[in-house]
Amino acid sequence: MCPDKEVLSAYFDGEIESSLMASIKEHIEVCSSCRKELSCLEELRRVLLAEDIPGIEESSVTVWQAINRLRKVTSRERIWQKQLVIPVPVATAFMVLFVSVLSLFFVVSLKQDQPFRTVSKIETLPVDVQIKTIEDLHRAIEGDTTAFEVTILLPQEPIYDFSGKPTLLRAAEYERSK
Amino acid sequence: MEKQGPYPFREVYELAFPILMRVSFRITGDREVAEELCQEAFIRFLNRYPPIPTLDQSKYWLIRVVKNLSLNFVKRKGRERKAFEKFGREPMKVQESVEDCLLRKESAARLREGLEQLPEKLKVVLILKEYSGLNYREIGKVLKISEGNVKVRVFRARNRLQELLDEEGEYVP
Ligand SMILES: [Zn+2]
Repeated sequence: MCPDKEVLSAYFDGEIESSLMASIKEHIEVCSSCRKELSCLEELRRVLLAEDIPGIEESSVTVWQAINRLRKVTSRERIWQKQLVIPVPVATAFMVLFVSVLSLFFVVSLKQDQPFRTVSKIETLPVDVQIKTIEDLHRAIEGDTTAFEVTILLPQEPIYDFSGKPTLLRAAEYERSK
Repeated sequence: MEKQGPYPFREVYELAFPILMRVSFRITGDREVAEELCQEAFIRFLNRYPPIPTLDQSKYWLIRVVKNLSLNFVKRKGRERKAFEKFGREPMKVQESVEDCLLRKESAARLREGLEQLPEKLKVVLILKEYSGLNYREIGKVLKISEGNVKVRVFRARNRLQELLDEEGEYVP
């Protein structure tokens, strides 16, 4: 009896348990209809593979260079993490400057009604996946959710808290803790 | 950021790039778009924290991301048609004899059309099977489905394609 087509397709891919392999092989040798089926599969694959992308090596180089340009920018930002040797007077001057700017900023923000403005509103649009936190977003992006469209509504203007952290992140954390 | 996990990024790149490029190109039909989406996938990989512990897992993760990016691209831009037309207008060079080429072009065009018409679930599995060199188990890991499920989908995709080709006649292997 002929193995069914699904089994032949798996056989064609070399994905058959070794215990079944021999008997299927034996059968195919004597069965012309199974042989025909296999040659159909072969033809299908041949046609699909006949057109590889030309110059995939070239693309590889292009993309590698693009990625490295971006990485260089990132590593330049990391200069802040390196140790710097700063003469004491300069450091003192810098500290004084920093503290005064900081206090000025504090005074300015006190003048406003709310010292830390919150995101004006977070709207949840009808989407396939409910995303409320950054973690949800990560999970959704990495998951096998091929069919979703996500719309994240950002506040009208970028708002940062005192430490320079976008308040949107604060809002996300707040939303999660509720 | 020089290293992701205990292996150098270069290693991941060389292992995964050809696969990502082929998968993305088959879905989007556009080489430049495929390059951009591959780049995006690698950037996301580099920015990922914590890093992915093994080389294989990194490969599966990257394929999954580029597949999602490519499908989203096609959907969002509604370019399915355009991509296909572009693909169709510029047939790739095939090093084959002339008569062979004519025959090949005919069935290749119809096959591309057929692949295009397949439901997404079947299309993706067949593309991964034929262009990524992954086995059923690995495809299962990329798509987060079982090996048995991969087997069924690969079979159904092929079956549909052959039916489509048979309907149009002339397809004699
Ligand atoms: Zn048979």
